[in-house]
Amino acid sequence: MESHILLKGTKEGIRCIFPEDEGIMKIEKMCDEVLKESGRIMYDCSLVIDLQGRESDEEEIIAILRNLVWPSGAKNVVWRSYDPKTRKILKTAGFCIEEYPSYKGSRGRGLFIYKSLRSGQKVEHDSDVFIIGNVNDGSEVWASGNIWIWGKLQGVVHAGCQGDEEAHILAKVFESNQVRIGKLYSSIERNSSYWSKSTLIYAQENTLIFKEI
Amino acid sequence: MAARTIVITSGKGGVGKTTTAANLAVELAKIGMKVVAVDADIGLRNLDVVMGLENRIVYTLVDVIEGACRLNQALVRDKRIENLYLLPAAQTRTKDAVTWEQMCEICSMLSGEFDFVLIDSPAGIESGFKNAAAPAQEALVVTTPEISSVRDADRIIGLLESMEKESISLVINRLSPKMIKRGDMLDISDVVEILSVNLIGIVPEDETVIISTNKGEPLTLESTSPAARAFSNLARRLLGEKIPFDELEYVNSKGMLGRIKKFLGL
Repeated sequence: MESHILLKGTKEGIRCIFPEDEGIMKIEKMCDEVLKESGRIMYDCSLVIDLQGRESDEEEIIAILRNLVWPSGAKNVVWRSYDPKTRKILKTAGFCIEEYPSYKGSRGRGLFIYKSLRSGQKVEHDSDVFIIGNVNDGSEVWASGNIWIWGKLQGVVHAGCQGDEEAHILAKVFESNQVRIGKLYSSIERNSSYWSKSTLIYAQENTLIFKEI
Repeated sequence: MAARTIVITSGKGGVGKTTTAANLAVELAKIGMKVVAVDADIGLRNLDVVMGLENRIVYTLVDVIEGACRLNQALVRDKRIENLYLLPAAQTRTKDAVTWEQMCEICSMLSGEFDFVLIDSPAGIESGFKNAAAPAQEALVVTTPEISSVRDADRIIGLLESMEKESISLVINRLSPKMIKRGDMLDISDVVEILSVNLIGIVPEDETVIISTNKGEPLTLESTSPAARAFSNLARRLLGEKIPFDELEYVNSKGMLGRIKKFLGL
């Protein structure tokens, strides 16, 4: 599948999400393409150059400036990266760097819990959380990443609790009255079609989507 | 040999901790065990009333702790059954009058004299619960088949697990076979699935419980009601007997239809 620079409208401006697995030559080409197709909407806007986990060197950053940022006519540019080396280069060059909310890749190891969480118990973890058991009513799970429950979910879970709205929640049996992803939350009625079913929950355009799987 | 020290707890109030503690104590004593029921609900004592011993209290657990009397002076012997004693709580003090270390010390002193030390815990998860649970190696968690009660029982089980109790068993109280049949009440399997602990007792809804409590005569003293039989089964299971969980079928057999079927030999 061919990679592209993905454009996403956010309240911070237009977010240009760069693929993580392409070389500099391909990046230059992709910059030209995106500028040709969508350069008009970038003019006088705020741009967020989201490099995700790319290990970008000085040469690549200059290539992005030359092929995308400067020709776009954007008024503000903010850079995002969770690769430590890239962040250092950007910082040394004096660029404005935004805190990366999801900490993808730089997060710690996923946390595996091989028991049920009982009422009153709370798990907080700066990464993904996997629970092989139930999350009982009255218990809570907060994870900066995804939350996967191989059991019954009745408590409250908050995936992407540091703001990552790309995190998702997966429950083998979904029976929770409330779920949260990033800054979004949703209350659920017991008569929902996915109640007591295996359910995947993710955010799309500021709404939580519940998908029976 | 040291006594088995068991805390009877629940989290939520009004689910039948004290009734369970009183009836279990009576039944174990009837079997021949030397039993002391300790009321750890300081300030809101009720075990003495349910056991019908309220008129005979001279000293309390707090008096023992404060050195106002010796332990055996505070113990109230039940004259109706041999080997049954009550260590009452003080009604005029609060939970803060006792620390968990003092409770452990008292129970350790009782442990050498008795076969069973049954501690009736107060509701809640604060110091009163901690004082009651600290000396016990085992726990009986009492719940009714209501969402709120089950949720509180789940909370208590989590706390007991963190205290590393040797065994945690479940007693489901006030089950109504009719309501279960109509789908208006949580089923036994629902409760056990949520709480994931060993089920040891099922006590059906029975109006004789209220009558016996008001009279101060524990059910297990004489009654043959479904609840009395359930408490008897609970005591025997606690002693390791394999008793089938037929408490709800027994209720049905005691009903009018059950009696007609029995008469007709069906």
